[in-house]
Amino acid sequence: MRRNHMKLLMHQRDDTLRGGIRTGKYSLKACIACHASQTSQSVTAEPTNFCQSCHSYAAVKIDCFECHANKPAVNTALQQVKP
Amino acid sequence: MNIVLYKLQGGSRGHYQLLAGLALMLVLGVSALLYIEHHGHIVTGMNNQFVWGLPDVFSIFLMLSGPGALSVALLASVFGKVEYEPVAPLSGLLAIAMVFTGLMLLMLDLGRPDRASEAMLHFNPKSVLSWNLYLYSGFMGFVAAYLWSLMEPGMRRFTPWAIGLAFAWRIGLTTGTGSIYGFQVARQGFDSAIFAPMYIALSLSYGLAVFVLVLLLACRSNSIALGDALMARLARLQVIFIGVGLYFILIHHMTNYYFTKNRDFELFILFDGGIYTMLFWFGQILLGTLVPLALLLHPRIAQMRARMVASVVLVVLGAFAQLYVTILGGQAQPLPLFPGRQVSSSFYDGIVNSYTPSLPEWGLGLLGLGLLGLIVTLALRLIAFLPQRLDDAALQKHLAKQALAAS
Amino acid sequence: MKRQNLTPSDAADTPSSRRGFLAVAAAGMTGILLAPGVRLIEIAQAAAAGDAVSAGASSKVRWGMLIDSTKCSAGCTDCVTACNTENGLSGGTLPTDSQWIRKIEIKEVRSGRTQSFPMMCQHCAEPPCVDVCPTGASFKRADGIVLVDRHRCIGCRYCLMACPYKARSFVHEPLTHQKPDVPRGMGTAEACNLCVYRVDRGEQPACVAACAAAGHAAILFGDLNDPASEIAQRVASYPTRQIRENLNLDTGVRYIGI
Repeated sequence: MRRNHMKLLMHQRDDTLRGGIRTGKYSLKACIACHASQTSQSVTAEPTNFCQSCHSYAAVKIDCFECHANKPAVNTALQQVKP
Repeated sequence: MNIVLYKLQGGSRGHYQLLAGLALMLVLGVSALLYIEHHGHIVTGMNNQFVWGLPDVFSIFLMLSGPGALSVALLASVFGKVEYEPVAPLSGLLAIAMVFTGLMLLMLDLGRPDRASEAMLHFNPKSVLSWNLYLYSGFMGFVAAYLWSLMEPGMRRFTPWAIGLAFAWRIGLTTGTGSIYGFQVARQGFDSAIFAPMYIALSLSYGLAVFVLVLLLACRSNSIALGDALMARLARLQVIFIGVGLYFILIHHMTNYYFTKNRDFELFILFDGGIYTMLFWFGQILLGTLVPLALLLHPRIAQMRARMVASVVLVVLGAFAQLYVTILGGQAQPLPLFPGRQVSSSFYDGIVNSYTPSLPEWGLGLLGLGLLGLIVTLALRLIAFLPQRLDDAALQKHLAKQALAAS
Repeated sequence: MKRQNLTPSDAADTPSSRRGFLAVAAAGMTGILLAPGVRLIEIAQAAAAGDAVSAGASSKVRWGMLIDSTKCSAGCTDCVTACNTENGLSGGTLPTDSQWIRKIEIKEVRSGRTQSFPMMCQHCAEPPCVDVCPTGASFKRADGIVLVDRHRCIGCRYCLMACPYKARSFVHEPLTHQKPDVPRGMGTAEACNLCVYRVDRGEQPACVAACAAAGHAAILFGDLNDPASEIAQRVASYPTRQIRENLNLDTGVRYIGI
């Protein structure tokens, strides 16, 4: 996973974005929901968090979270109207 | 051709002062670039209404003048005007340097220049900006091949190939630059096929002006005698090019005015546009076109050299004015979403927006010009581009030699 | 003249070796400048093949919206607020702020009659923004939704220039606290994406939901290709138009009453 995670991420992101496939395996949100740290609620906020731990050691800046939220979604009751 | 070329001599105080000045421009420019990179385009004057700002004006100027500067080499090697052969290498150098710097400036103004490699890996065949990648690299490559064929003894047989391909690419490149605007259906100021030939015409004029300026400066700084015969020819060429450019500008504006649907835009540029109107009449038409034409055509005004310098400087200033009016004026006017109705919204629809270039944008412009200056100055110093004499006697000798070789 | 044996350091100074170096350098430069164009075309073609759409978004569906401006009132901005909340937009209206949807007021000059309605990305079938995007970041999904692939967007803003509806915005500053469903970042272009993640879940876009919840029901969302859907039936029975229809872009967003 460490060596190949970018290959995985890049392939799945195209399937999601261009193909509209959003099931659990293809969702970055789903990865973050599990892997976010209990204390910081994030995958990159602190140097020990899931993504940041290897990246700070390797000194490679993570580009993903310029756009993507690094925290899991908060489940509030959203108003939804079904078509 | 068999002209002996020399490197310019450096080492003089003036030379080092010039290099220092250009390096300073570069440092200021790079700081501006890093500032914009870090904070985002919010620190510039650009916004969702004025999408492309001052850096684009500088970039397009360089991208037009580059192929235009090649005109002298094209005349020498494609159209057989042997009197231009001594200065053809300089023409090639300027073409490469300006296209390179213009492209660099365009790429540095991107929101995410770190992703520039994406542009190369994913190519959208319908996008003019995509074509640019191949047009620019091809142009620079072929001109480099042309220069090599000129300077490498015994390689002269490749010159027609290299310059022929450079010529084709030059037409394609400027057509592409014009079509960036011409292919846009959204705005009244752009949606027109005339942009491609108009930009080719303008590139001839702007490119030659920059070429003459650099030639004059280089010869003056190194005491290369520059004769009136060559100057007169270049002056005549400049007059023709200014004239052709003026023709296309007139047609563009006349047609826009004739179309009722575009008349709002024309009236805006011609009368109501504030800074754009001023730059159009005073900058582009008066200073950029009419005064240089008068200076170059009138036999009594001053000496040849002073007239040339004044004309080409004015043409360059006029170029910036024209590009500012075209690119920014075209964005100032609201989109015609509902023709005939007054439109308003929170997204600045229906109103004329205003744009003020910010300091970081001027910095990016400085970066472009400074880099161009450095490339040209160092290239002239390190590689032989200019002959020792360009005065009337040398030109006569060269023409006689060519006539002999041809017979 | 004395003949000197050429030592390695002398050889470097002779004109022929300098010329040789320059020849190789110039040839190499030409090759380097031209070769990427040749090689990258191969890579681009391979990449294009890999972009083929897989199951998820189907071309049998064409998502569209029908906006009835007669049901829309001038002061109401429910759809705009809903969009801002849903997508994590600031809601600000500075010239540099992103606006994915906006209320437009038009006034007939002669009579003074005014109308109000929302405008957003029109999700054209022939989008100019897709034509001009140099990297293919601006693309049309199989089901008609026009999106920006922000992984590929280089921020050139050509799509902002080319859009006839000024639908696109550019992110001018670093962003934090993005909504997990809506990644957005500095230096990329963005626009209304028809709440594509909600649509994929079977829900409606936020603006449609908000307008319905508030009781106005001015915006209708549905599959234009499905003759049984309400939107297809309405488009078949009432006169609807597209904005700037003379451009022939076949937009997915239609309007009644303007």
